[in-house]
Amino acid sequence: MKQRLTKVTNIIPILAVIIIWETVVRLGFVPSYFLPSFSQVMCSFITLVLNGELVYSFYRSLLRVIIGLSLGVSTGVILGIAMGYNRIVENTLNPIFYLLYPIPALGWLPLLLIWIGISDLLPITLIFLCSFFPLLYNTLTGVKSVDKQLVMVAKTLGASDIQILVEIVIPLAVPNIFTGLRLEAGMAWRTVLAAEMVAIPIGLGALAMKAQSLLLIDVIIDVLIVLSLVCLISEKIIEFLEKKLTKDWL
Amino acid sequence: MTRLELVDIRNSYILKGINLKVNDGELFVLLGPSGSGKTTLLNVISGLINYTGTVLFDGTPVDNIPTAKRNIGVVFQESSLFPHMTVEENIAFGPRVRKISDKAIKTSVEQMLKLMKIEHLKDRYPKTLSGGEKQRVAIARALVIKPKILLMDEPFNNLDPRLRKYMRDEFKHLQRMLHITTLFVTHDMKEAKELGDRIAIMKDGEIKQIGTYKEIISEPKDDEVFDFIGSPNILPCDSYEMLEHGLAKVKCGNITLLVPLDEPRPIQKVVIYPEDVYIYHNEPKGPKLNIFAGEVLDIMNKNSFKVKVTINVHGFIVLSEMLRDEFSSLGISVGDKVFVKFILKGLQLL
Repeated sequence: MKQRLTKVTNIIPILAVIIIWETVVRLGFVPSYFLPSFSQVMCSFITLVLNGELVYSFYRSLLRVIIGLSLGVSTGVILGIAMGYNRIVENTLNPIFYLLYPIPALGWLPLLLIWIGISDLLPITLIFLCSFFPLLYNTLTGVKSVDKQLVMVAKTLGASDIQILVEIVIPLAVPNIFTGLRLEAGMAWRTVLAAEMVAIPIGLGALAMKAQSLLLIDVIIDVLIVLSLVCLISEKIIEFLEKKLTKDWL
Repeated sequence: MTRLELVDIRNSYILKGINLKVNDGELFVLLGPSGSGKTTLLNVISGLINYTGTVLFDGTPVDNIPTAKRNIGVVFQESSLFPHMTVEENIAFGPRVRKISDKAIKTSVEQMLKLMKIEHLKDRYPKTLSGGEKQRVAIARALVIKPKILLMDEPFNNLDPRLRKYMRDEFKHLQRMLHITTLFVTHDMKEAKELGDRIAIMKDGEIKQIGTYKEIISEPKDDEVFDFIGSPNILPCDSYEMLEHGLAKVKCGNITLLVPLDEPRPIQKVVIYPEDVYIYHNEPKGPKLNIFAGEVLDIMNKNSFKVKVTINVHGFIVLSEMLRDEFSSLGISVGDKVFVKFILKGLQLL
């Protein structure tokens, strides 16, 4: 009951903003060419969905995010585990990653434009770069923070190094991995949007840029609403998975 | 079961040539202060750290055998249960990684759950268990692999005193029943006394003395050992007479003490620790049990947390220890005539 009440009270401010937005535009306080009303934005949203433009743009962006994020997360997690579990691997790779980590993903854009050119590979590479490093370092921290005594116990019970890694170290590093994932899922969407705005002709970012050149503010807002919702949904999915995996014991 | 032997065990900075033999089925206690190398020695036996010297199980060196193959059960101070596994999964971990059949795992886990009286906890995660329950699970997990040797590293330290005593009694019973060679580490003399068939006093990476509790208390090898075991007062006794209600009257020199004694047995000495010797300026009221007149001979550590007072009680030099505040309120000085009370529950018979 209390939870339902909280959900209702959470919606109230959003509804209030929508009502105020609709009212100020309809009463002429703000010209509709500068800020279309909420109902206008929704109308254009439905039109864009029905004519398939928004759905297709979203699909292309989603595909890039899924591929880029999957590659970045899996590589980051695998290397994070390897570095956390093996000092030689850590000492070898850490100096390189330490230098590359501070470079923002979009900082690679000019170079990647030359190396890769304008293709799907460009945003995928950028998403890979933006998700790889945080996942790597979160996993590394997770692996390193596993209680050494648990590893010692597992050894005395007869576990091999690989069994300790798979059965003890990785499961215990899961909360840290999910922290990285939660941070980076939203970041991947922001990155793909930026890349599509600058260099890719199809996708949510490209749709927003096209709308900007035609002064279709309602379409730009539609894209931003989709971005906001998709980031929120991504975070909720990750939160759900994390709870599913760790709620019993954490 | 297995006989354990350590020959000239050394480890870079901590262990300085440890030689030790633990008999088959013996419950052997390693007693020493923090930093004396007790845990390091357990890690050597487990093969978890580098060392020089030889560790032998039943006369066979195991130095080149990795930890996973030594077949040792270890229980640490912190229960170190795997937090992401249920109690049942924790206990099954050892047999499972040893690729034992599912049926055999199920049977042995059930046996352990029953033995440790934790069947009702099997589906619970460690975060929901109390300290005592966690240690029971940790013991079950160590025993389920049928280890050659069981190593216990201060396993009951984090439990409250009453539960600790209960766990000690239960563990001793279990160890006797399973007849498993056990090396038990503690810094608590009382725990060592209650558990150990034999005790090794360890300090600064060396074993200072090995013997039964009686042997160590009766004849501490040197001042260091005497200090570590708490500088007990030892009164040689001549005769005793059984009374009712589990009591006996023991004659030691010129004094007669009332002591707890359940059934007749030879008594040679009465031991009492300095903290169980109370001093009064005037004769205390009430029954005159184990209260004797004496004279203050010396006062030591006046400014430290605990003050030590030596008193001549009918020819016995008795040491008493008290907190500084208690000493200040007592207001005694050397040469004063005082009264001394030996606390009944503090009197031990050897």
